[in-house]
Amino acid sequence: MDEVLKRVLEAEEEARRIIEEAHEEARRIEAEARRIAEERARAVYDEVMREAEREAEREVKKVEEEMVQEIKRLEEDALTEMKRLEFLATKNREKAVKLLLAEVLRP
Amino acid sequence: MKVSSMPLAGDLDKLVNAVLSKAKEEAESIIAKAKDEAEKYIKSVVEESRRKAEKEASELIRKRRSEALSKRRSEVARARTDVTRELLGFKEKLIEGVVEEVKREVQAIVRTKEYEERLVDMIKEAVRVLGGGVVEVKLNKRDRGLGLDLTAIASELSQELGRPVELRLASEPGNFTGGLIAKSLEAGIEVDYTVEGILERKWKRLRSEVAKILFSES
Repeated sequence: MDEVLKRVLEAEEEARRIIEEAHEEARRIEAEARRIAEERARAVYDEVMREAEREAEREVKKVEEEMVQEIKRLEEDALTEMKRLEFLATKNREKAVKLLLAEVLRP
Repeated sequence: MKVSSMPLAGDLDKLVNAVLSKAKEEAESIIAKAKDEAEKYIKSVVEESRRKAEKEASELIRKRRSEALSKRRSEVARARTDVTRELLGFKEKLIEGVVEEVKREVQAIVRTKEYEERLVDMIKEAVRVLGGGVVEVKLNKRDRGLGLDLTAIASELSQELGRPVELRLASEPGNFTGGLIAKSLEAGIEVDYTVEGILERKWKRLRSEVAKILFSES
């Protein structure tokens, strides 16, 4: 009976060891999971922020290009307006000079 | 004893195996659960990090865009102001061009007979404004050489105004293109009918009229 008891106790001891090792392995898995989670979280964060930087740069570039175009249009419009004014001034100059001349010699 | 110990040994083996098998089963379960939780934990942390990053990324893009738009508004407004200023300057130059041309024309006109008649009319008008009396007339060097008959003009004005009129030519010539400066020696009042004076006085009123004519579409 001693032999039987001994084997039973040994088996139970072995079972405890197996379960304890499993708990140990679970703790190791948990620790590893924390490390992996931190590493992947950092990688994901960095990647999202890198893409955001690229997106922001694209946005800024787009707005700057629109700005350049808008200013160019303003300058072109001004040039067209200047040409129009110059044309009108050339056409009407004589009339304006006559008016002013008549007034200058009349107190 | 020997016969009965055999089944006992077999039962014991079964018992030991059962204990160990159960332990292994439980161990596997513990590890599987740990793996499952680890997987969920990793997923959850990564997702949380992604959400945080996406929120910050969205804010970063919004901020950069907002700054760029603000810069664009400011630059465009400045360009608009510059362009408007340039246009106004250009218009002003065209308007001033008329004045310059008038000045050149006046230089030519003051050499004509018609101008002489105008000058006499201007002298008469100046004396009327001063109310007659003794009036000193200042002309430029060229007009002094025209030999205007100031006595005859004074006589005509005297009759018109019903009081004595005497016109005296100033001792010094005036430094102006044409016209005159008349001064009542009794009242000490002076009227400036020089071309430059008239132009300066009338320019404020005439400027808008000149601009209107100059840039008229019709």
